[in-house]
Amino acid sequence: MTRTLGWLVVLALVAGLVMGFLVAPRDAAQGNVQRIMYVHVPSVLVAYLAFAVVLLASIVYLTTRRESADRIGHASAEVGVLFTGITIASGAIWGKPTWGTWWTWDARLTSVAVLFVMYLGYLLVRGMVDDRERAARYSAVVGIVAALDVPLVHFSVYWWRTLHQPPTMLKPGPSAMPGVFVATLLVNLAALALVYVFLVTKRVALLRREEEALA
Amino acid sequence: MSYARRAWIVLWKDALAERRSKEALNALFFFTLLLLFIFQFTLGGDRERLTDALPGLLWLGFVLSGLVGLGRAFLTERDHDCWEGLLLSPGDKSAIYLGKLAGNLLLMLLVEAIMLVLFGVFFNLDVGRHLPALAGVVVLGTVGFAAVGTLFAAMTAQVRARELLFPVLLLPVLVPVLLGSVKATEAVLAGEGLGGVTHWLKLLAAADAVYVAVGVLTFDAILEG
Amino acid sequence: MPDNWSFVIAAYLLAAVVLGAYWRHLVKKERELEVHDRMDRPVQSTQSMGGPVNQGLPVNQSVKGTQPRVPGTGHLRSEPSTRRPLP
Repeated sequence: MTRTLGWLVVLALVAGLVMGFLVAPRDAAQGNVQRIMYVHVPSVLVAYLAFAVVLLASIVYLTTRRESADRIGHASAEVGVLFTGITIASGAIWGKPTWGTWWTWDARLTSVAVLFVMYLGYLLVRGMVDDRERAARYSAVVGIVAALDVPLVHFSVYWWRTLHQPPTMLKPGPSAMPGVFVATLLVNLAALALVYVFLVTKRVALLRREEEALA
Repeated sequence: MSYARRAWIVLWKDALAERRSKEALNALFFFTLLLLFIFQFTLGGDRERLTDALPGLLWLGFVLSGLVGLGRAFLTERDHDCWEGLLLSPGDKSAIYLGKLAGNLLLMLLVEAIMLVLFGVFFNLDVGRHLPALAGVVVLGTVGFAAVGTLFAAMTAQVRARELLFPVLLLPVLVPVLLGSVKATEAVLAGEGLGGVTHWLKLLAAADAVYVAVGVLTFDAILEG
Repeated sequence: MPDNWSFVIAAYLLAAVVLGAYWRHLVKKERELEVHDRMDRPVQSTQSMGGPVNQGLPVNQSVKGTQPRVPGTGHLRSEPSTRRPLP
């Protein structure tokens, strides 16, 4: 099963690259640098998906104590942190030629950075609490708090940046989106979502094996 | 024993212990004083820059002293091996959470009040003029701080690298509370009143509600075993 | 507006490297565990088989190459992190 999934992932990634480099036209305003958005935007969306899964898994774990929920939460958090890192890095790489600086405290980068540190904390709890069962409970609580915090972080950072600055400076993506851009984004989003599913599946299987090995 | 009574007993025990030893309060008082000196040395040269930075500095002071205070929240339980007592207490453990939360909240508000007075004295800040609005903002922000802080303090109390894990977990989560509190304080100290920052106040209230709710619902899971 | 292709390539490469490295890490760990599982099974069955244990461990040979085998136990020296106490 994972083999077919793996090939599907490859197919989707190729499709995404084709769309991103060959089908999507050069952006009029930003030039070809805009193509980074096909990595940056799907990454952040997949990261949000991953953390939503962590939230669900955490709630299920705390209410049922099912170990499968714990493993899914753990794996999803790991992959989510990866995608968040990719989001930040690709955003910075886009920012350098566009804004002239690697980093800026604009709303989106700042909230993603906070997101990153929150879920790094989740992984830190996993790593630093020796007792497996306690680590599962604690990280589930952290997973819930972090997820519920996401909208709060979003609004607070957005208001913090926008109320005294012109909005045009703050939108990292294309402002008006013709159909082909949207289509390319969607294809790349599907591809990265499949990568997420693939990696999480593998990680969950590995976690289960690691536990069996210790048992 | 009723839920409220159990929460009250936890609060009373902590308050009594604190009143007898004054350990935390004294330490935090001196810590606050030191912070003020550091702020003055690092930023005090330029009068205008300092005035602009005051709301931020105030909350920076609250956060730093809050971290120290909260980090010790479950110290007695840990050092004197009282965890079993907590674990074996009958009924819903969330009553313990609320009792601890109330205790931490009172301690933090007390320290913040002292810090406000000191700020007023050392930085020539007219705190009295804006007091009602300022008090409201400080309470809103501190409730959120104490709510997550108490939850995470209980969680990290028995973890290896507690001093590292506690702030690393707490601070990113508190970004909304920090932003909202500083922005609202800015408006109050600038004489604008709270009218223009109602969205921030609503955000703070929402955050407080969320954090307390999560704390009440998950404290059981933190304490068990 | 200049095209900055180097930045575009850098961003895509970065994503590829991060995801690829993680995947490789997972595959490596999985293989280590598989080796482990197979190492234990022959030990458990020697009691019933009674035969020499040095044979029948093709997985170990391919992974561990020319490492010396301790006679009589069939166990190759494994890294401390994957070593487990014998049952």
